[in-house]
Amino acid sequence: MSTRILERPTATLPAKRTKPSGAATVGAVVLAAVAIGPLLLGDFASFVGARIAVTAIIGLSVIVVTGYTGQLSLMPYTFVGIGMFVAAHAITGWGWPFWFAAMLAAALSVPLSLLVGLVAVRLHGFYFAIATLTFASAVGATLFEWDAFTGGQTGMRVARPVIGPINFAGDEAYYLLCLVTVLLLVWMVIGLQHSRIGRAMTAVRENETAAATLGINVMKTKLVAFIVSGMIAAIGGVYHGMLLQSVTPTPYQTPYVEAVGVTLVILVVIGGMRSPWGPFIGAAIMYVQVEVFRTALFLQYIAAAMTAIAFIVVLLKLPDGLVGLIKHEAEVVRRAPLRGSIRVATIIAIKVVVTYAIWRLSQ
Amino acid sequence: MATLTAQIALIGLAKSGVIAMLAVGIVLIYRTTGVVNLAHWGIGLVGVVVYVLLTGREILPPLLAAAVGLAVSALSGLLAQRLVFARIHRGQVITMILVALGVGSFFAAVSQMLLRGQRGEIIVDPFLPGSIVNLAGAVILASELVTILVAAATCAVLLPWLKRSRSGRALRAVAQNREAAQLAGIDAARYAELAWVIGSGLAGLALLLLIPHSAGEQGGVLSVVHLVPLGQLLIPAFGAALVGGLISLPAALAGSLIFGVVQELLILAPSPIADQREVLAFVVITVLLLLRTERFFASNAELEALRS
Amino acid sequence: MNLLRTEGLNLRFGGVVALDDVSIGIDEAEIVGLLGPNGAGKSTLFNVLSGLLKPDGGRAYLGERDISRSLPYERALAGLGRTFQHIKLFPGHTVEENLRIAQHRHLRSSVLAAMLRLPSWRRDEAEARDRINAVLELIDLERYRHHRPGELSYGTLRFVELAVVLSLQPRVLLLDEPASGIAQREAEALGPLLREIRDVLGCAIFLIEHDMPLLLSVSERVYALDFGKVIAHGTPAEVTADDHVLSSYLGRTRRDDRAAS
Repeated sequence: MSTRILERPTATLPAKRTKPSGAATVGAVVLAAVAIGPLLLGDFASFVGARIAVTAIIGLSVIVVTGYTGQLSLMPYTFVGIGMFVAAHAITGWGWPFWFAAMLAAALSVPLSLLVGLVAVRLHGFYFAIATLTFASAVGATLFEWDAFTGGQTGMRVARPVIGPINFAGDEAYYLLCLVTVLLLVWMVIGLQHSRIGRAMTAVRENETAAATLGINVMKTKLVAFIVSGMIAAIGGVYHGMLLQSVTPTPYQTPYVEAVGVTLVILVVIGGMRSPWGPFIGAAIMYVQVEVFRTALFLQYIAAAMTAIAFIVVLLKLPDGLVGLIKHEAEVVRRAPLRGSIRVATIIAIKVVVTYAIWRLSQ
Repeated sequence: MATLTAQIALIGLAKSGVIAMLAVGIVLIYRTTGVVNLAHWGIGLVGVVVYVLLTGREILPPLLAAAVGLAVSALSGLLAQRLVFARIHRGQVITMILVALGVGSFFAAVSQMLLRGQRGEIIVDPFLPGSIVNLAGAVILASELVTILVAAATCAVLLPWLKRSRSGRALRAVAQNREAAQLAGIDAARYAELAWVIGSGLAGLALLLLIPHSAGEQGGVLSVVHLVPLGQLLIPAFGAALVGGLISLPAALAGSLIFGVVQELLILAPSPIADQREVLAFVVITVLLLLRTERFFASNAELEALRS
Repeated sequence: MNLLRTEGLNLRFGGVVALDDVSIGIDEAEIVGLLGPNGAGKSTLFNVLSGLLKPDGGRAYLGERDISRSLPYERALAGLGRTFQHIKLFPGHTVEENLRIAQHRHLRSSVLAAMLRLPSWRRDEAEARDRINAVLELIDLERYRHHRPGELSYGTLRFVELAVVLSLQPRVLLLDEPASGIAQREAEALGPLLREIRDVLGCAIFLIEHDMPLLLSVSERVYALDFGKVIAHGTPAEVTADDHVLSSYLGRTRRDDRAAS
């Protein structure tokens, strides 16, 4: 058996890249379709696409703090609101470029996430969730009632950026900007997942005691997760503001801020809580559903009820959400290409047909 | 001044009554099944919405409609426990609380569905008279008085019942140690469901006393602000329950007085405190969370039993 | 000089005395055994040593450093590793990923470096890879690299847990019943493996074991605990002949044996 190796590791060549998995190929195809699709379907589709992308950004904050670290935060939209109004002031008020405003928004989220974090990371499980709920209410009742910050009930305007010759005011251009941003952030979160701190987060989630005895500072890990999550949500807020172009404080006051926080968690869990792609998929399903049922309000609430049921089913039976399901199906296809493809195609076809049928009936 | 204080105290007391009923439900459910019931508001809401539908179309007289609403809430809680919560192993804390959110969202969506997605505010007929009662100089709505009396009566009946009756003691046994209770021949599942029925019924009762009478003498208003999974009063209700560590009922009652009467009385305090009453409540809740109040009301063994 | 030392540790749980004036010392690269009947306080002592339980009184030292008030993770970073009576691993991760988590102490890259895939992150990941390969080879677990704990036998998991704690590169290793639940053959291999670990890593090992042949064959010194008190300490031969130890385990002393014969 080896003797010295444990003591002094020598550098070796990086491991050879293995063949990309079926899931990655599927993902690449879907991504291409997602990128080009809305552009072909017109302006409104682009707006919806941008909305999905922005929600996916915000959902990444849930992935980091809840998916990886296992802490349930019910205040992501408090940070979104902060990012949004900071952007409103910086972009419209002081004429800053949007990316600089985004960095400022992320920086300004830190005092709050630090304050809440220092209190909340000492708390376990549901107490943490209730603490974030309490803080969301408190900030909703104070900061978002402060007219100087929010511009009062009339709200504030947020202009979409102009970078050189490109004007992102149009929905199509803005959608591409959001898409690029969300892909960049997903890339960064994947990097986080495969790093010392990312592994510390999942270790803390799975077994705090074992993590501590391996030298992981559990409280610091939870705090870092919460702060990073707040920053991501604030950046999402900047893009959200630019999407709406006109922002008001009401959705960030009690009780709406908690309601939308719950909705976000639901769609992230359905999409897949453990994967950075989860929020994208969850948001896509939710907003497509909203658009399909737009004219029939009644159906929207049925859809909401069914979403809640789907959420519970996913929690109990499908811990990795739709991302997990897709990976599983990709494996099935890889192992038995013809039979698997037919199966997957059939499932997708059924879903598309059902959705179309409901849409037609609601007209 | 004394009359003004008494006046404010009475209004606060009515608020305390609603919070108390919510908090008692939360504690009962947590103690017996280990579930932190974030679906509590949604379950109570469904009862109110059923009431609104029944009275809006004049299908039933208000009082009867209220009774039906109450039953619907209780039934919803029972279904939630039987179909969903009973399947979750207590050790999975995050899953438990996420599922509770899902259940609450479900009932909020159902509520909106039942209202056929009516936007805006819905006028709600009250089931209690809108008259004003004069109590030694202080004026109070009949509905508020009834709320206080009902809350007091509920506690007066419930606490001794839990302590002395056979069912009550069985409930407490299940709460303290599920396995031991089952070994002693107590059907733990049955009693868990009983706790949910009572707790959910109380949630329905609390919201039925609150919402249809929220506009004073004219009755009540049901608006978007209510049709959410986590209503505004849920946080103070949890705050009250936290005074007892989610375990002690008498302490939860004391807590509901803090978040009702005491908070209202702060209007009389000097300016900065009075304006920030709500924020102060949040600070108190945060402190309660940090104190981990459950340590004072249950032994380590009992806490272990609740967690696993 | 003692590497790990305690002075007068005391701990009561309500009316029960769990630890009673426990003073022990472990030297560099020593293998020391800890024996005693069930409920003697052995695991409790380990919990106090690793910082999971706070004693009512007494102190603990790791090298020069007073760790009496240190948090568990600080003790781990100072070089104190431990395994548990009930195996503690990360169930949702493969063996390789468990070992990767255990590299925490050695890696340095920041959050930003990770998110931007900077060179410092790349170096970290390469170093982690090498260390993982080395420890998998040392404990001979390469074939289980991609398996999850749920798929492996209890005996194999004991070795995985050992590999995980070794990744910490501890100066002192607290092993809580490493042979419990594993097959006889593997238990016999454990003795030489522990000695090899001590030789390779230069770490001291403090070992709780009910498997007497293993404990006595691998330990250079032994402490005996009963009712939270150290009742004997010395070489394995001395301790097993000690009257107090015999009576605590068997209910009688050598004098009784001689009187009977």
